[in-house]
Amino acid sequence: MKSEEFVNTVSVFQDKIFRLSLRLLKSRDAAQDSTQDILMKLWKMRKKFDKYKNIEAYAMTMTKNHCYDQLKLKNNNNISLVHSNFALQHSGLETALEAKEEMSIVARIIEKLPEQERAVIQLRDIEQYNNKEIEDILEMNPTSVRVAISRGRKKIKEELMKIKNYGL
Amino acid sequence: MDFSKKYISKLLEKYDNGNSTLEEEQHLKTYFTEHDIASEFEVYRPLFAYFEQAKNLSYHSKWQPQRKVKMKPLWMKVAASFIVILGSVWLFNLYQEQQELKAAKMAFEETQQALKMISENMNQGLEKLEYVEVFSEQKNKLIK
Repeated sequence: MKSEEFVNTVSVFQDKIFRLSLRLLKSRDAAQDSTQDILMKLWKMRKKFDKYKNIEAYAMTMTKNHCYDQLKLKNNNNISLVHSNFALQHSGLETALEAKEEMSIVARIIEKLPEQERAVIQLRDIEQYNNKEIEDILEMNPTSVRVAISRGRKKIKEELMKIKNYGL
Repeated sequence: MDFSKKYISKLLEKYDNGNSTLEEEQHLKTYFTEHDIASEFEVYRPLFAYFEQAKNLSYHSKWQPQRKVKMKPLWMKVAASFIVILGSVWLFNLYQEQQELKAAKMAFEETQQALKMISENMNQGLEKLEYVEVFSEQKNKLIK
């Protein structure tokens, strides 16, 4: 596999790797490093690509494992991850500021979820994988995927309700 | 497409319970981004707006697989090592030859010196022999 071919293959899902890393690690730098590492690993195993039925799902699983490892490492070192900075691009006209605020509120609510719920929300609601794919990527059974999705969504909704009813 | 309150509220319930299909979620996204939203659903609006926006984030740093350093062909490596080996053998031989030559020269000089010494001593002996010659001449005169 030539490097151009490789770049074409991974360009389909490298943003997804980055976004999942960012969702789990909550830091842009850490997510950049993580993506870099995953792409490096993929590059090293490029000759075996055709052995995998779904290289994208495999890459996403690698990302999940890599990020969970990183989180464990950070926890062991008692380093708390510092909040992220989700890029807030082109959000609108005069209501831009308000919209921006809303976006960062949702981002912060998701940030507070447990890592598994963060992962399923990312994969389902943002990347729009179906449940079967999420089961494969996260190596979870169907019930726990569904439960995690539901829990995550309900928690986000409750937080948004609180903010709506009582303000920040 | 059906965007009645009844339908949306049914979808949202399914959504909360994790039972909605991707298609139904797409309907919800369309509803929340393109329609006037009923006030009871207002709470979901930032959520779907955020999901829509979050998927546009991309990995910017351009990643390139490092190029492999082009290796010289094998025969070149073999040739290079041969040259090194031959060269060192030749140098060693040259050195040894020179060492031998030096040793031979030194031996020659020493021998020469030794011979010179002998010849000097011999010459000294010859001087004394002259007396013997004179003596024998005188003796012959007398005894004849």
